[in-house]
Amino acid sequence: MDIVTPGFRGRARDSSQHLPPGQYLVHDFPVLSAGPTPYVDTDEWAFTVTTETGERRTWSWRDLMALPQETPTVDLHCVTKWSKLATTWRGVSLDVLLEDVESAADFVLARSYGGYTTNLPLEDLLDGQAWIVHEFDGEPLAPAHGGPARLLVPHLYLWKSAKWVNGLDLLTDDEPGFWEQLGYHEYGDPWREQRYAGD
Amino acid sequence: MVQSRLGWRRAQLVARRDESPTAVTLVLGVPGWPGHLAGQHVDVRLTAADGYSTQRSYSLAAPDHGARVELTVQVVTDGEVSPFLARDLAVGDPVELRGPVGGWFVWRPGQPQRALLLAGGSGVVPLMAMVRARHESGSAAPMHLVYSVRTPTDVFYAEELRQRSDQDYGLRVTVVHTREAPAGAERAAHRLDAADLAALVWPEADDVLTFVCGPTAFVDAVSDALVSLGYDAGAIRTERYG
Amino acid sequence: MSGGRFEGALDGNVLGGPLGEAFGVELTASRVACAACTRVAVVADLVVYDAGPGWVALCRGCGEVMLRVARLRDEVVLDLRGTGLLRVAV
Repeated sequence: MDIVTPGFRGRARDSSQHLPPGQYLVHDFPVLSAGPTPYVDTDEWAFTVTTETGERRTWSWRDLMALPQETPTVDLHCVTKWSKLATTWRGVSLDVLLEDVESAADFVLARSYGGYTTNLPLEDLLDGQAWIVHEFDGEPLAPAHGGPARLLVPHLYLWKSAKWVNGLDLLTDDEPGFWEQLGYHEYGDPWREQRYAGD
Repeated sequence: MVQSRLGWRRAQLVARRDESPTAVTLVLGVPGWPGHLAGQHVDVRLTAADGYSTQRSYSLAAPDHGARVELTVQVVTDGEVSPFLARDLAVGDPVELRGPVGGWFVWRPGQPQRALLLAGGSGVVPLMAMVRARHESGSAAPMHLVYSVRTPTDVFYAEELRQRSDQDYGLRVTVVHTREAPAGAERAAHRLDAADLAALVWPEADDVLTFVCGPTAFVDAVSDALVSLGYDAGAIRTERYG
Repeated sequence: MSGGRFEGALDGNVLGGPLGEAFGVELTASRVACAACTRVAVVADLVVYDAGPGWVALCRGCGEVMLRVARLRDEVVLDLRGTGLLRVAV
Protein backbone atom coordinates (compact mmCIF):
# COMPACT_ATOMS: atom_id res chain seq x y z
CA MET A 1 0.00 0.00 0.00
CA ASP A 2 1.61 3.23 -1.15
CA ILE A 3 2.15 5.96 1.42
CA VAL A 4 0.13 9.07 0.63
CA THR A 5 1.99 12.39 0.83
CA PRO A 6 -0.46 14.96 2.23
CA GLY A 7 -1.02 17.90 -0.06
CA PHE A 8 0.51 16.27 -3.14
CA ARG A 9 -1.85 16.66 -6.05
CA GLY A 10 0.32 15.97 -9.09
CA ARG A 11 -0.30 17.14 -12.63
CA ALA A 12 -3.63 18.85 -13.11
CA ARG A 13 -6.13 16.04 -13.22
CA ASP A 14 -9.84 16.17 -13.79
CA SER A 15 -12.00 13.33 -12.56
CA SER A 16 -15.24 14.75 -13.90
CA GLN A 17 -14.68 13.35 -17.40
CA HIS A 18 -15.51 9.77 -18.18
CA LEU A 19 -12.15 8.16 -18.79
CA PRO A 20 -11.03 4.57 -19.34
CA PRO A 21 -10.13 2.78 -16.11
CA GLY A 22 -6.87 3.89 -14.49
CA GLN A 23 -6.42 6.97 -16.67
CA TYR A 24 -5.86 10.59 -15.64
CA LEU A 25 -6.82 13.55 -17.74
CA VAL A 26 -4.01 15.97 -18.66
CA HIS A 27 -3.92 19.24 -20.53
CA ASP A 28 -0.34 19.21 -21.75
CA PHE A 29 1.01 16.76 -24.32
CA PRO A 30 3.84 14.61 -22.94
CA VAL A 31 6.62 13.66 -25.36
CA LEU A 32 7.85 10.10 -24.96
CA SER A 33 10.10 8.36 -27.46
CA ALA A 34 11.81 5.00 -27.77
CA GLY A 35 14.81 6.45 -29.52
CA PRO A 36 16.30 9.51 -31.21
CA THR A 37 13.76 11.67 -33.04
CA PRO A 38 14.06 10.97 -36.75
CA TYR A 39 14.12 14.09 -38.90
CA VAL A 40 12.59 13.11 -42.23
CA ASP A 41 12.34 15.55 -45.11
CA THR A 42 8.97 15.43 -46.83
CA ASP A 43 10.90 15.27 -50.14
CA GLU A 44 12.21 11.90 -49.04
CA TRP A 45 9.18 10.72 -47.08
CA ALA A 46 7.45 7.58 -48.35
CA PHE A 47 4.71 5.37 -47.00
CA THR A 48 4.56 1.77 -48.23
CA VAL A 49 1.85 -0.83 -47.77
CA THR A 50 3.14 -4.36 -48.34
CA THR A 51 0.54 -7.11 -48.64
CA GLU A 52 0.87 -10.71 -47.49
CA THR A 53 1.73 -11.67 -51.08
CA GLY A 54 4.58 -9.18 -51.24
CA GLU A 55 2.79 -6.60 -53.38
CA ARG A 56 3.74 -3.05 -52.51
CA ARG A 57 2.11 0.31 -52.94
CA THR A 58 4.00 3.45 -52.08
CA TRP A 59 2.83 7.00 -51.56
CA SER A 60 5.05 10.05 -51.62
CA TRP A 61 4.31 13.15 -49.54
CA ARG A 62 2.74 14.76 -52.59
CA ASP A 63 0.58 11.67 -53.10
CA LEU A 64 -0.55 11.82 -49.48
CA MET A 65 -1.45 15.50 -49.72
CA ALA A 66 -3.46 14.89 -52.90
CA LEU A 67 -5.75 12.40 -51.20
CA PRO A 68 -9.00 13.43 -49.50
CA GLN A 69 -8.16 14.90 -46.08
CA GLU A 70 -10.14 14.58 -42.88
CA THR A 71 -9.92 16.48 -39.61
CA PRO A 72 -10.73 14.02 -36.86
CA THR A 73 -11.17 15.14 -33.26
CA VAL A 74 -10.24 12.28 -30.96
CA ASP A 75 -9.31 11.33 -27.42
CA LEU A 76 -5.85 9.91 -26.70
CA HIS A 77 -5.11 7.34 -24.00
CA CYS A 78 -1.50 6.52 -23.18
CA VAL A 79 -0.63 3.32 -21.35
CA THR A 80 1.39 5.43 -18.90
CA LYS A 81 -2.01 6.58 -17.66
CA TRP A 82 -2.46 10.03 -19.10
CA SER A 83 -5.38 10.84 -21.37
CA LYS A 84 -5.85 13.93 -23.50
CA LEU A 85 -9.31 14.65 -24.84
CA ALA A 86 -10.59 16.30 -28.00
CA THR A 87 -7.28 16.51 -29.84
CA THR A 88 -7.56 17.75 -33.41
CA TRP A 89 -5.66 16.32 -36.36
CA ARG A 90 -5.60 16.43 -40.13
CA GLY A 91 -4.75 13.48 -42.34
CA VAL A 92 -5.85 10.69 -44.62
CA SER A 93 -8.13 7.88 -43.56
CA LEU A 94 -6.74 4.36 -43.84
CA ASP A 95 -10.01 3.50 -45.60
CA VAL A 96 -8.82 5.73 -48.45
CA LEU A 97 -5.26 4.41 -48.46
CA LEU A 98 -6.27 0.77 -48.35
CA GLU A 99 -9.22 1.11 -50.71
CA ASP A 100 -7.50 -0.43 -53.72
CA VAL A 101 -5.22 -2.78 -51.83
CA GLU A 102 -6.14 -6.41 -52.34
CA SER A 103 -5.50 -8.46 -49.27
CA ALA A 104 -6.85 -11.36 -47.26
CA ALA A 105 -4.64 -10.48 -44.32
CA ASP A 106 -6.08 -10.11 -40.83
CA PHE A 107 -3.15 -8.40 -39.16
CA VAL A 108 -0.92 -5.40 -39.60
CA LEU A 109 2.58 -4.55 -38.45
CA ALA A 110 3.06 -0.78 -38.59
CA ARG A 111 6.65 0.33 -39.17
CA SER A 112 8.33 3.65 -38.50
CA TYR A 113 11.44 5.58 -39.42
CA GLY A 114 13.91 4.70 -36.66
CA GLY A 115 12.78 1.07 -36.41
CA TYR A 116 9.73 1.20 -34.14
CA THR A 117 6.96 -1.30 -34.84
CA THR A 118 3.53 -2.08 -33.44
CA ASN A 119 0.91 -4.64 -34.39
CA LEU A 120 -2.90 -4.60 -34.53
CA PRO A 121 -5.76 -6.30 -36.42
CA LEU A 122 -6.30 -4.92 -39.94
CA GLU A 123 -9.99 -4.36 -39.27
CA ASP A 124 -9.05 -1.87 -36.54
CA LEU A 125 -7.55 0.39 -39.18
CA LEU A 126 -10.77 0.48 -41.21
CA ASP A 127 -14.27 1.94 -40.98
CA GLY A 128 -13.18 5.38 -39.94
CA GLN A 129 -11.05 4.21 -37.03
CA ALA A 130 -7.57 5.27 -38.21
CA TRP A 131 -5.63 7.89 -40.15
CA ILE A 132 -2.17 8.82 -41.30
CA VAL A 133 -2.05 12.31 -39.80
CA HIS A 134 0.34 15.16 -40.57
CA GLU A 135 -1.17 18.11 -38.68
CA PHE A 136 -1.93 18.48 -35.00
CA ASP A 137 -3.92 21.36 -33.56
CA GLY A 138 -3.83 23.18 -36.89
CA GLU A 139 -0.02 23.07 -37.29
CA PRO A 140 2.29 20.68 -39.14
CA LEU A 141 3.00 17.73 -36.87
CA ALA A 142 6.24 18.37 -34.97
CA PRO A 143 8.98 15.72 -35.16
CA ALA A 144 8.86 15.22 -31.39
CA HIS A 145 5.21 14.20 -31.73
CA GLY A 146 5.79 11.93 -34.70
CA GLY A 147 6.04 14.32 -37.63
CA PRO A 148 6.03 14.56 -40.56
CA ALA A 149 3.33 11.88 -40.25
CA ARG A 150 2.16 9.34 -37.73
CA LEU A 151 -0.46 6.66 -37.49
CA LEU A 152 -3.47 7.59 -35.40
CA VAL A 153 -5.65 4.78 -34.02
CA PRO A 154 -7.33 6.44 -31.06
CA HIS A 155 -9.55 3.58 -29.94
CA LEU A 156 -6.41 1.72 -28.84
CA TYR A 157 -3.67 2.80 -26.42
CA LEU A 158 -1.43 5.44 -27.91
CA TRP A 159 1.61 3.18 -28.35
CA LYS A 160 -0.29 1.67 -31.30
CA SER A 161 -0.39 5.10 -33.00
CA ALA A 162 3.10 4.72 -34.38
CA LYS A 163 5.06 7.98 -34.62
CA TRP A 164 7.09 8.54 -37.80
CA VAL A 165 5.12 5.80 -39.55
CA ASN A 166 6.52 4.78 -42.93
CA GLY A 167 4.65 1.62 -43.77
CA LEU A 168 2.25 -1.16 -43.01
CA ASP A 169 2.92 -4.86 -43.48
CA LEU A 170 -0.32 -6.78 -43.98
CA LEU A 171 0.14 -10.22 -42.46
CA THR A 172 -1.85 -13.44 -42.19
CA ASP A 173 -0.31 -14.14 -38.80
CA ASP A 174 -0.07 -11.62 -35.99
CA GLU A 175 3.49 -10.49 -35.31
CA PRO A 176 4.27 -8.65 -32.10
CA GLY A 177 5.79 -5.20 -32.39
CA PHE A 178 8.33 -3.33 -30.28
CA TRP A 179 6.48 -3.16 -26.95
CA GLU A 180 4.26 -6.17 -27.58
CA GLN A 181 7.42 -8.29 -27.65
CA LEU A 182 8.11 -7.23 -24.08
CA GLY A 183 4.70 -8.09 -22.75
CA TYR A 184 2.41 -5.24 -23.71
CA HIS A 185 -1.04 -6.29 -24.88
CA GLU A 186 -1.43 -7.47 -28.47
CA TYR A 187 -4.68 -5.49 -28.82
CA GLY A 188 -4.65 -2.67 -26.26
CA ASP A 189 -8.26 -1.55 -25.65
CA PRO A 190 -8.13 1.19 -23.00
CA TRP A 191 -11.77 0.62 -22.03
CA ARG A 192 -10.98 -2.96 -21.07
CA GLU A 193 -7.67 -1.79 -19.58
CA GLN A 194 -5.66 -4.11 -21.81
CA ARG A 195 -2.21 -2.76 -20.93
CA TYR A 196 -0.25 -6.03 -20.63
CA ALA A 197 -0.53 -9.43 -22.31
CA GLY A 198 -3.12 -11.51 -20.53
CA ASP A 199 -5.16 -8.54 -19.30
CA MET B 1 30.32 -3.91 -3.22
CA VAL B 2 27.41 -1.52 -3.21
CA GLN B 3 24.01 -3.13 -3.60
CA SER B 4 20.89 -1.33 -4.67
CA ARG B 5 17.84 -1.99 -2.59
CA LEU B 6 14.57 -3.30 -3.96
CA GLY B 7 11.91 -1.76 -1.82
CA TRP B 8 10.35 1.58 -1.15
CA ARG B 9 11.04 3.05 2.26
CA ARG B 10 9.13 5.67 4.16
CA ALA B 11 11.02 8.93 4.55
CA GLN B 12 9.93 12.13 6.16
CA LEU B 13 10.97 15.72 5.79
CA VAL B 14 13.12 16.90 8.68
CA ALA B 15 14.23 20.28 7.37
CA ARG B 16 14.66 22.29 4.18
CA ARG B 17 17.03 25.09 3.24
CA ASP B 18 17.33 27.31 0.20
CA GLU B 19 20.38 26.83 -1.98
CA SER B 20 19.54 29.42 -4.63
CA PRO B 21 16.43 31.32 -5.74
CA THR B 22 15.26 28.16 -7.51
CA ALA B 23 16.77 25.28 -5.57
CA VAL B 24 16.05 23.80 -2.17
CA THR B 25 17.83 21.13 -0.13
CA LEU B 26 15.57 18.69 1.63
CA VAL B 27 16.84 16.83 4.67
CA LEU B 28 14.94 13.56 4.99
CA GLY B 29 14.88 11.11 7.85
CA VAL B 30 14.89 7.55 6.52
CA PRO B 31 14.69 4.87 9.22
CA GLY B 32 16.77 1.86 8.28
CA TRP B 33 18.67 3.63 5.51
CA PRO B 34 21.41 1.21 4.42
CA GLY B 35 23.98 3.90 3.71
CA HIS B 36 25.29 5.16 0.39
CA LEU B 37 28.28 6.47 -1.53
CA ALA B 38 28.81 9.93 -2.94
CA GLY B 39 27.45 10.05 -6.50
CA GLN B 40 24.49 7.74 -5.96
CA HIS B 41 20.87 8.74 -6.37
CA VAL B 42 17.45 7.80 -5.05
CA ASP B 43 14.04 7.41 -6.59
CA VAL B 44 11.33 9.42 -4.83
CA ARG B 45 7.68 8.42 -5.13
CA LEU B 46 4.75 10.65 -4.28
CA THR B 47 1.19 9.37 -4.04
CA ALA B 48 -1.87 11.61 -4.03
CA ALA B 49 -5.00 10.92 -2.00
CA ASP B 50 -6.81 9.49 -5.06
CA GLY B 51 -4.07 6.92 -5.62
CA TYR B 52 -2.29 8.72 -8.43
CA SER B 53 1.46 8.38 -8.06
CA THR B 54 4.58 9.51 -9.84
CA GLN B 55 8.33 9.13 -9.38
CA ARG B 56 11.44 11.18 -9.92
CA SER B 57 15.14 10.50 -9.39
CA TYR B 58 17.31 12.83 -7.32
CA SER B 59 21.01 12.68 -6.59
CA LEU B 60 22.08 12.48 -2.97
CA ALA B 61 23.70 15.79 -2.04
CA ALA B 62 25.47 14.68 1.13
CA PRO B 63 27.59 11.67 2.03
CA ASP B 64 26.43 8.84 4.27
CA HIS B 65 25.15 10.23 7.54
CA GLY B 66 23.20 7.23 8.75
CA ALA B 67 19.44 7.63 8.64
CA ARG B 68 19.50 11.18 7.34
CA VAL B 69 19.84 11.94 3.62
CA GLU B 70 19.88 15.18 1.68
CA LEU B 71 18.54 15.95 -1.77
CA THR B 72 18.85 19.26 -3.58
CA VAL B 73 15.82 19.86 -5.79
CA GLN B 74 15.96 22.32 -8.67
CA VAL B 75 12.51 23.77 -9.22
CA VAL B 76 11.26 23.20 -12.77
CA THR B 77 8.74 25.87 -13.77
CA ASP B 78 5.29 24.27 -13.96
CA GLY B 79 6.86 20.99 -12.92
CA GLU B 80 4.67 18.36 -11.37
CA VAL B 81 6.94 17.34 -8.51
CA SER B 82 9.78 19.80 -7.93
CA PRO B 83 7.68 22.83 -6.94
CA PHE B 84 5.78 20.64 -4.49
CA LEU B 85 8.93 19.19 -2.92
CA ALA B 86 10.66 22.55 -2.78
CA ARG B 87 7.83 24.54 -1.24
CA ASP B 88 4.82 22.56 -0.15
CA LEU B 89 6.04 19.35 1.46
CA ALA B 90 5.70 20.00 5.19
CA VAL B 91 8.14 18.99 7.90
CA GLY B 92 6.99 15.61 9.18
CA ASP B 93 5.20 14.63 5.98
CA PRO B 94 6.15 11.35 4.31
CA VAL B 95 7.41 10.46 0.86
CA GLU B 96 8.71 7.13 -0.37
CA LEU B 97 12.34 6.58 -1.25
CA ARG B 98 14.08 3.74 -3.08
CA GLY B 99 17.80 3.22 -3.26
CA PRO B 100 20.60 4.07 -3.14
CA VAL B 101 21.04 3.49 -6.85
CA GLY B 102 24.25 3.54 -8.83
CA GLY B 103 27.61 1.83 -8.65
CA TRP B 104 29.52 3.44 -11.47
CA PHE B 105 29.08 7.15 -10.91
CA VAL B 106 30.51 6.98 -7.38
CA TRP B 107 33.54 8.42 -5.62
CA ARG B 108 35.02 6.44 -2.77
CA PRO B 109 37.28 7.96 -0.12
CA GLY B 110 40.58 6.18 -0.44
CA GLN B 111 40.51 6.36 -4.22
CA PRO B 112 44.10 7.37 -4.96
CA GLN B 113 43.46 9.09 -8.27
CA ARG B 114 43.06 12.78 -8.72
CA ALA B 115 39.37 13.60 -9.23
CA LEU B 116 38.13 16.05 -11.85
CA LEU B 117 34.49 16.98 -11.35
CA LEU B 118 32.56 18.88 -14.01
CA ALA B 119 29.12 20.18 -13.09
CA GLY B 120 26.55 21.69 -15.44
CA GLY B 121 23.95 23.56 -13.38
CA SER B 122 22.04 21.21 -11.11
CA GLY B 123 24.51 18.48 -12.08
CA VAL B 124 26.59 19.81 -9.18
CA VAL B 125 24.48 17.91 -6.66
CA PRO B 126 26.15 14.47 -6.76
CA LEU B 127 29.54 16.16 -7.20
CA MET B 128 28.93 18.19 -4.04
CA ALA B 129 28.34 14.90 -2.26
CA MET B 130 31.82 13.92 -3.45
CA VAL B 131 33.38 17.19 -2.23
CA ARG B 132 31.72 16.69 1.14
CA ALA B 133 32.69 13.02 1.32
CA ARG B 134 36.29 13.91 0.57
CA HIS B 135 36.24 16.54 3.33
CA GLU B 136 34.74 14.16 5.88
CA SER B 137 37.18 11.41 5.06
CA GLY B 138 40.23 13.66 5.33
CA SER B 139 41.38 12.55 1.89
CA ALA B 140 44.28 14.53 0.47
CA ALA B 141 43.89 13.23 -3.09
CA PRO B 142 43.59 16.29 -5.34
CA MET B 143 40.07 17.18 -6.45
CA HIS B 144 39.05 19.94 -8.84
CA LEU B 145 35.41 20.93 -9.22
CA VAL B 146 34.63 22.96 -12.34
CA TYR B 147 31.10 24.25 -11.89
CA SER B 148 29.28 25.80 -14.82
CA VAL B 149 26.33 28.08 -13.98
CA ARG B 150 24.34 30.67 -15.89
CA THR B 151 24.69 33.56 -13.44
CA PRO B 152 26.27 34.09 -10.02
CA THR B 153 22.88 33.71 -8.28
CA ASP B 154 22.49 30.20 -9.67
CA VAL B 155 25.35 28.77 -7.63
CA PHE B 156 24.27 26.13 -5.12
CA TYR B 157 26.25 25.72 -1.88
CA ALA B 158 28.12 28.98 -2.59
CA GLU B 159 29.27 29.69 0.94
CA GLU B 160 30.17 26.10 1.69
CA LEU B 161 32.17 25.79 -1.53
CA ARG B 162 34.15 28.88 -0.61
CA GLN B 163 34.90 27.39 2.83
CA ARG B 164 35.82 24.00 1.43
CA SER B 165 38.20 25.41 -1.16
CA ASP B 166 39.82 27.65 1.47
CA GLN B 167 40.19 24.94 4.08
CA ASP B 168 40.51 21.59 2.31
CA TYR B 169 44.03 20.84 1.20
CA GLY B 170 44.12 19.74 -2.43
CA LEU B 171 40.60 20.94 -3.30
CA ARG B 172 40.12 23.53 -6.00
CA VAL B 173 36.76 24.98 -7.03
CA THR B 174 36.30 26.96 -10.24
CA VAL B 175 32.95 28.53 -11.07
CA VAL B 176 32.39 29.32 -14.74
CA HIS B 177 29.54 31.59 -15.84
CA THR B 178 27.73 31.05 -19.12
CA ARG B 179 25.21 33.92 -19.30
CA GLU B 180 26.28 36.60 -16.85
CA ALA B 181 29.64 36.89 -15.13
CA PRO B 182 30.27 38.74 -11.87
CA ALA B 183 31.38 42.37 -12.12
CA GLY B 184 35.09 42.62 -12.83
CA ALA B 185 35.42 38.98 -13.86
CA GLU B 186 38.36 38.16 -16.10
CA ARG B 187 36.42 35.63 -18.12
CA ALA B 188 33.44 36.95 -20.06
CA ALA B 189 30.31 34.83 -19.75
CA HIS B 190 30.09 32.13 -22.38
CA ARG B 191 29.45 28.41 -22.53
CA LEU B 192 32.23 26.23 -21.14
CA ASP B 193 34.32 25.25 -24.14
CA ALA B 194 37.41 23.25 -25.06
CA ALA B 195 39.68 26.27 -24.60
CA ASP B 196 38.36 26.81 -21.06
CA LEU B 197 38.94 23.17 -20.25
CA ALA B 198 42.44 23.17 -21.71
CA ALA B 199 43.30 26.06 -19.38
CA LEU B 200 41.60 24.58 -16.32
CA VAL B 201 42.13 20.84 -16.20
CA TRP B 202 45.23 18.81 -15.41
CA PRO B 203 47.22 18.33 -18.59
CA GLU B 204 48.55 14.91 -17.65
CA ALA B 205 45.43 12.81 -17.66
CA ASP B 206 46.81 9.40 -16.72
CA ASP B 207 45.74 9.06 -13.14
CA VAL B 208 42.67 11.29 -13.24
CA LEU B 209 39.18 9.96 -12.61
CA THR B 210 36.65 12.32 -14.14
CA PHE B 211 32.98 12.77 -13.28
CA VAL B 212 30.71 14.88 -15.50
CA CYS B 213 27.11 15.57 -14.53
CA GLY B 214 24.41 17.84 -15.90
CA PRO B 215 22.19 18.25 -18.96
CA THR B 216 22.92 15.81 -21.78
CA ALA B 217 24.27 18.47 -24.13
CA PHE B 218 26.72 19.68 -21.47
CA VAL B 219 27.89 16.18 -20.59
CA ASP B 220 28.37 15.15 -24.22
CA ALA B 221 30.23 18.34 -25.16
CA VAL B 222 32.52 18.28 -22.12
CA SER B 223 33.30 14.58 -22.48
CA ASP B 224 34.22 15.03 -26.14
CA ALA B 225 36.42 18.02 -25.30
CA LEU B 226 38.27 16.09 -22.59
CA VAL B 227 38.91 13.18 -24.91
CA SER B 228 40.33 15.57 -27.46
CA LEU B 229 42.67 16.86 -24.71
CA GLY B 230 44.02 13.37 -24.19
CA TYR B 231 41.76 12.10 -21.44
CA ASP B 232 40.93 8.40 -21.56
CA ALA B 233 37.23 8.00 -22.36
CA GLY B 234 37.12 4.95 -20.11
CA ALA B 235 38.10 7.06 -17.09
CA ILE B 236 35.34 9.62 -17.67
CA ARG B 237 32.16 8.79 -15.77
CA THR B 238 29.01 10.57 -16.77
CA GLU B 239 25.51 11.16 -15.46
CA ARG B 240 23.03 12.87 -17.76
CA TYR B 241 19.94 14.69 -16.60
CA GLY B 242 18.34 14.79 -20.07
CA MET C 1 31.15 9.56 -27.23
CA SER C 2 29.36 11.76 -29.72
CA GLY C 3 27.77 15.15 -29.36
CA GLY C 4 24.36 16.02 -30.71
CA ARG C 5 23.62 12.60 -32.09
CA PHE C 6 21.77 11.50 -28.99
CA GLU C 7 20.37 14.84 -27.94
CA GLY C 8 17.91 14.67 -25.11
CA ALA C 9 18.89 11.12 -24.20
CA LEU C 10 19.66 9.95 -20.70
CA ASP C 11 22.22 7.29 -19.88
CA GLY C 12 22.31 3.90 -18.22
CA ASN C 13 22.40 5.39 -14.73
CA VAL C 14 18.60 5.59 -14.93
CA LEU C 15 18.40 1.82 -15.44
CA GLY C 16 19.91 1.29 -12.00
CA GLY C 17 16.48 1.36 -10.40
CA PRO C 18 14.60 -1.11 -12.65
CA LEU C 19 17.60 -3.43 -13.15
CA GLY C 20 18.25 -3.39 -9.43
CA GLU C 21 14.62 -4.34 -8.88
CA ALA C 22 14.87 -7.20 -11.35
CA PHE C 23 18.20 -8.66 -10.29
CA GLY C 24 18.52 -7.53 -6.70
CA VAL C 25 22.00 -6.21 -7.36
CA GLU C 26 23.41 -2.98 -8.73
CA LEU C 27 24.21 -3.39 -12.43
CA THR C 28 25.19 0.05 -13.71
CA ALA C 29 28.89 -0.77 -13.25
CA SER C 30 28.59 -4.06 -15.14
CA ARG C 31 29.94 -4.30 -18.68
CA VAL C 32 27.91 -5.18 -21.75
CA ALA C 33 29.01 -5.90 -25.31
CA CYS C 34 26.96 -4.69 -28.26
CA ALA C 35 25.72 -7.67 -30.30
CA ALA C 36 25.89 -5.58 -33.46
CA CYS C 37 29.33 -3.95 -33.25
CA THR C 38 30.97 -5.68 -30.21
CA ARG C 39 31.77 -2.36 -28.53
CA VAL C 40 32.01 -2.88 -24.75
CA ALA C 41 30.59 -0.32 -22.33
CA VAL C 42 29.46 -0.12 -18.75
CA VAL C 43 25.69 -0.12 -18.43
CA ALA C 44 25.89 3.41 -16.98
CA ASP C 45 27.26 4.66 -20.30
CA LEU C 46 24.50 3.30 -22.57
CA VAL C 47 22.33 5.85 -24.40
CA VAL C 48 18.91 5.55 -22.80
CA TYR C 49 15.48 6.82 -23.78
CA ASP C 50 12.55 6.76 -21.40
CA ALA C 51 9.70 5.92 -23.75
CA GLY C 52 6.94 5.60 -21.20
CA PRO C 53 6.10 1.90 -21.51
CA GLY C 54 9.76 1.24 -20.84
CA TRP C 55 13.35 2.20 -21.50
CA VAL C 56 15.42 1.63 -24.61
CA ALA C 57 19.22 1.49 -24.38
CA LEU C 58 21.34 2.08 -27.47
CA CYS C 59 25.00 1.40 -28.15
CA ARG C 60 26.84 4.71 -27.96
CA GLY C 61 29.12 3.55 -30.75
CA CYS C 62 26.78 2.26 -33.47
CA GLY C 63 23.32 3.37 -32.25
CA GLU C 64 21.77 -0.08 -32.37
CA VAL C 65 19.31 -1.14 -29.67
CA MET C 66 21.17 -3.15 -27.02
CA LEU C 67 18.57 -3.48 -24.34
CA ARG C 68 14.85 -2.87 -23.81
CA VAL C 69 13.35 -2.80 -20.33
CA ALA C 70 9.60 -2.80 -19.68
CA ARG C 71 8.12 -2.33 -16.25
CA LEU C 72 4.87 -4.29 -16.28
CA ARG C 73 2.46 -4.72 -13.39
CA ASP C 74 4.45 -7.31 -11.44
CA GLU C 75 7.39 -7.95 -13.68
CA VAL C 76 10.40 -6.28 -15.18
CA VAL C 77 10.84 -7.64 -18.70
CA LEU C 78 14.22 -7.41 -20.41
CA ASP C 79 14.97 -7.89 -24.09
CA LEU C 80 18.68 -8.60 -24.16
CA ARG C 81 18.95 -9.64 -27.82
CA GLY C 82 21.05 -6.60 -28.66
CA THR C 83 23.55 -7.47 -25.93
CA GLY C 84 26.26 -10.00 -26.63
CA LEU C 85 27.75 -10.43 -23.18
CA LEU C 86 26.91 -9.14 -19.72
CA ARG C 87 29.80 -9.17 -17.27
CA VAL C 88 28.92 -8.74 -13.62
CA ALA C 89 31.72 -8.27 -11.06
CA VAL C 90 31.07 -10.30 -7.92
